[in-house]
Amino acid sequence: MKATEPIVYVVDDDAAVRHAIKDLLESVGIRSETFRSGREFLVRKPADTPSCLILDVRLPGSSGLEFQRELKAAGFEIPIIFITGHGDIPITVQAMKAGAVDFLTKPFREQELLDAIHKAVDRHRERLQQVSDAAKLRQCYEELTPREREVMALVTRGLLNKQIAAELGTSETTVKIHRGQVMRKMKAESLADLVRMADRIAQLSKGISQPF
Amino acid sequence: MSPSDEIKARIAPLLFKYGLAMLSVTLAFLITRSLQPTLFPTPLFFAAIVISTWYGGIGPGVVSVLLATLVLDSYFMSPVRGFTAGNSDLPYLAQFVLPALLSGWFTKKRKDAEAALKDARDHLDAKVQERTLQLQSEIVERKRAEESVHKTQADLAHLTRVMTMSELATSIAHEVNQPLTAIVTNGAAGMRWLAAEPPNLERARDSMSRMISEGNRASEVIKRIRALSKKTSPHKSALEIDEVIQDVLALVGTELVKNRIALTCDLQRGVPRVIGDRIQLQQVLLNLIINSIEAMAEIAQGPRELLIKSEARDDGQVVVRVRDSGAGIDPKDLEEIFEGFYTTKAEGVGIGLSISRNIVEAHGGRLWASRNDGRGATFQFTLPTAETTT
Repeated sequence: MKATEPIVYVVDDDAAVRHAIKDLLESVGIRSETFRSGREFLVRKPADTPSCLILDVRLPGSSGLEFQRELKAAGFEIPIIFITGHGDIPITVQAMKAGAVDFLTKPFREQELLDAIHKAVDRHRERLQQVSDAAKLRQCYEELTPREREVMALVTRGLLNKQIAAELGTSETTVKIHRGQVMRKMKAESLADLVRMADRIAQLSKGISQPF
Repeated sequence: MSPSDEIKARIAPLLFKYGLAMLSVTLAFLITRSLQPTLFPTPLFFAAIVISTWYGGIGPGVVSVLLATLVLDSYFMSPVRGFTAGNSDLPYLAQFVLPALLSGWFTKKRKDAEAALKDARDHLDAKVQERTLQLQSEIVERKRAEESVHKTQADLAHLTRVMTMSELATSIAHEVNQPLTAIVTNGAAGMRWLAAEPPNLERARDSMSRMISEGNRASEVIKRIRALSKKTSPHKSALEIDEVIQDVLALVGTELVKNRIALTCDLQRGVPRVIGDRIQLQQVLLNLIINSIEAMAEIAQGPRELLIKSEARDDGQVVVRVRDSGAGIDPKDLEEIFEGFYTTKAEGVGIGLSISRNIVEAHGGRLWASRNDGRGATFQFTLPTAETTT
């Protein structure tokens, strides 16, 4: 199996339920790993592939909701699908507010679970893509010289080459060369593309990231 | 009391004490003289001194010693009557005076000791009396406390049963739900293994064998619950059904007031005792009364009347009726309402009447419902009396 193939982690204290879910996922060709407790899962250190976590609300030790908070606090970003014996509305609301993808009541219909898994895995994949895009963008930006960064800032503010030359006290030809370098190094296809990248970099430097 | 009276009251005992001292010594003298003792004229004088000291104390005692000494010296020592004591008489007199003083002193001591003893005894009596009164009031207090504890226990027993029921239900739900989840999920997996191209029969078989073992696991849970319900056998005793009714009315009093329901209790006097589990019977009644209250709370108009009636029937059964003026029961529901999980209430679970009927039938009675001629419904149950049961 390829490393990029999605993987589903299952945490439930009931061996029969764990086994059944694993069997079901296997029958539709989804890779899965099962754990008896949240702690066991933490020890495993999930791989950096699109994945999701199926978590029983009622767990020995800390409850599923507590574990959800623990994961968040530890910086583990993984979409969670909760499964529970009784669909308690306040708990459902709490879990969904804390970012759960879905909340299924046992016994669940298998299609519901599979749909939730697809949704969760897609979300995670997107998220991973975003993270890697951001990293690439940052890398490109870091390759710019200080003067090129200045030129990029002024270009994306909408200034004309002539205005930029006046602002920086240099010739329009020099600005044109810098501008060409910026477009090349940032792998931007158009000015609009470059503006979007500048916005994204500004967001990243402010620490704004999109939650699940 | 006037001052003169006070003086009289003080002097009278003194006069009596010193008079007694003189009288006793005089008597001793007269008797001794009539007996004409040759060697020992002293014994009766000792007696006189003891009596004087006993009743009079130190003062009269000393007076009696002095008197006795004078009398002895004048009449029994010297041949001539007179108060002069010769030198030859001194040792003899000393022999009398010392023991006389000693015996007086001992008598006084003895008297004091007895007085102290008597005092102590009187004190003790008073103490005992006081304590007895205290104990009596304590006993009354304790009885009252015990009664209230008994009442609270009965209330608590209800609550605990209700609580245990809901906790038990949660626990059972979880215990059964886990294997059910596994069965459903394994079934889904099995279907998918079969639907594969080509069908994976081996995996499908695995899924199915797990379904079977999980089915058995669910059945084990049910078996355990059955065993549990057998263990909690009812605690039966002879009891007054009217007391059970009163117990329950005490619990629902506030509900009746809150829903503005007029209660009429028609309890027949001297209804024979029934054999039953007090708490279970309370549960049945509580259930019927709460149902009635709810049925009446729904109606917007008309009187809200609850009648509770107990009476002995000729066939040796006691019958209890709970009659309300509520929404009534649809004729087709008269029997269905006793089925488990059948409810006509928006928020009902539908087990109250089914449990109630089980309890009454386990007591050898019957529980049924009927429509009133006017508004509302009547629930009644019978119970065999203690006499018919034994």
